[in-house]
Amino acid sequence: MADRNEKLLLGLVKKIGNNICADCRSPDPEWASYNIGIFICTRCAGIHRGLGAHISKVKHLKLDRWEDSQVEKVSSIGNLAAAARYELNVPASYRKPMENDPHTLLEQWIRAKYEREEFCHPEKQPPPYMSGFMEGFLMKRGRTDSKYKPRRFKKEPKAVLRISELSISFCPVKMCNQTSFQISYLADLNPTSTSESSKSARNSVGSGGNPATFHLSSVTTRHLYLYHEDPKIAVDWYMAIRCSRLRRMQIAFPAASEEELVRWLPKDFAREGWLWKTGPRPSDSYKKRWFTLDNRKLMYHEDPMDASPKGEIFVGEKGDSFFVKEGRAQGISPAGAGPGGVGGFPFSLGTPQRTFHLSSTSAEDRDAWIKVLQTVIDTPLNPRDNALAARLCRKRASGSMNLFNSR
Amino acid sequence: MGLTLSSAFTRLFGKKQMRILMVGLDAAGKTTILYKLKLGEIVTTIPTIGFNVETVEYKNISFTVWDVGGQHRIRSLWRHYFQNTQGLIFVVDSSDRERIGEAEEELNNMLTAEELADAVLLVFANKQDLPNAMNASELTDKLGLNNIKNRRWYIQAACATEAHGLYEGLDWLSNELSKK
Repeated sequence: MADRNEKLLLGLVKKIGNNICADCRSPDPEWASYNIGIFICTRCAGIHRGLGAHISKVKHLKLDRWEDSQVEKVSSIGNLAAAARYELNVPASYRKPMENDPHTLLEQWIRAKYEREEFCHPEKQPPPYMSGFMEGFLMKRGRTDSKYKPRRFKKEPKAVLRISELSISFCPVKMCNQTSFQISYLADLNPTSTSESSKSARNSVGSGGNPATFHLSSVTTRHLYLYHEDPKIAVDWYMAIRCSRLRRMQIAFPAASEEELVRWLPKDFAREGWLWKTGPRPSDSYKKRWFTLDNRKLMYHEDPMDASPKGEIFVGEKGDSFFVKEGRAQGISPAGAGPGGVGGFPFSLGTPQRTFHLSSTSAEDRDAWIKVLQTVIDTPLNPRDNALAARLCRKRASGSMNLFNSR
Repeated sequence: MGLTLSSAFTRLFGKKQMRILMVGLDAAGKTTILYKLKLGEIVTTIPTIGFNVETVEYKNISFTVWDVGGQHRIRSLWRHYFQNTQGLIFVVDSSDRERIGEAEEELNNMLTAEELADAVLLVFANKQDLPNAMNASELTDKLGLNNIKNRRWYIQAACATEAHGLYEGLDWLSNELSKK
């Protein structure tokens, strides 16, 4: 009888919908929750067990003994029917986590679905992150020291961040904290002004002929490192920012479909890590820098947790003579010659203004960088990218004006 | 002479060893308990297929704790870990009323094993924080602990995620060890 049930289960899990994990969509689930009626992967099974047996009852398809009634239950529901119920009302801006996403996102997604039932009661008031207004304390890392202090985040501010220009990324490994995220935005001298007025303000200061002031007013990325002890609140903030961000884009690009706009929502950094980089002159030595690729913006820092990058590179599309390739251009000193064991796996990133000579410490790492950069270069620009390009290029122009200004 | 000296040294300064086998139905919280004791923090666990083993130092005793997966078909593997076990920890999900009979059955099956004749038994009544959890006396009844003959046993209410009850359980184990 047990064998009969096992056979039934192994047949059920092959069905469309059941063949991927109900929560993270990874292939070939080996577990099931027999009271909810879904098939899930091992990682999600661990989270389900943590909810308690009063929420989810988990069994392995082969290693556990199944009662007939339990098999009938999962057979009568399955992943598609369960999704129709528990994901009925998921906001478009909500990030549904995938197989390799951070644990906090996945756990809160599962708790939101089955423990809090946030998405299956459209008649109820929407969760706070959908209201467009949220306030509360988050722990924020100091700009110059590494201490985290509580800061109140809402609309009455010490500083204002423009939702439309910030990107938000979960990076639990770098920050050594599961409930942490990083917000990056382009900081202006006058952050409360709109884009248009700050541009004119900069122009007037520039024509005043004071290069130092001009430099201050130019845009540069600022990174905020934030966390909250409570994973639910941390994830609520993350979803709230995505939700507001989507609404802003719907105003800015009314013709674009919601589906398309969701694709433009900030993603986790495509890649981060140490690379070696030369200066602009061929004779310059290699320096170790922490590189971060945020959508089309490649930034480099002295330290992974720096408040601002030392430099920012806009990565455009192929047609505009951007390229990435393995190897070292002629005349560039071999990376291995540098002090302190410089990585010997060079590649270069070409932009219309300059070619960046970079070097990695392993072939795998170099290939991974080339792959993510090539993906960006192969992707056509969208209107939002053009805005970013304009801002970064303006910064570059101001940089060249300040050639004699010590940086 | 050298031998006597070294054994005296061990008696004065050395650590006692205790081999512990931790079993129970799947999802009882065994791995969470193990790493709460070892690291003092709640780790993200996935179901254990196989085993985890760690040494936990407490009150000058070095506990070697074997945490063995509890899925139905792998429970038959528990007996491979019986030999030389001095202390048996049986973990129960106190909120899972549906499967308490199954837990009772597994526990009493195991206690008939000859290799475990000398092992003391500690029951962790885990997940006391969950709604409708059975308390220690209800579990004593449902697990038939009062029918156990010729064995020292103790039941400790616990909540692994808050670390409640875990060290009280180890205290009892260490007392039992010093009696031997």
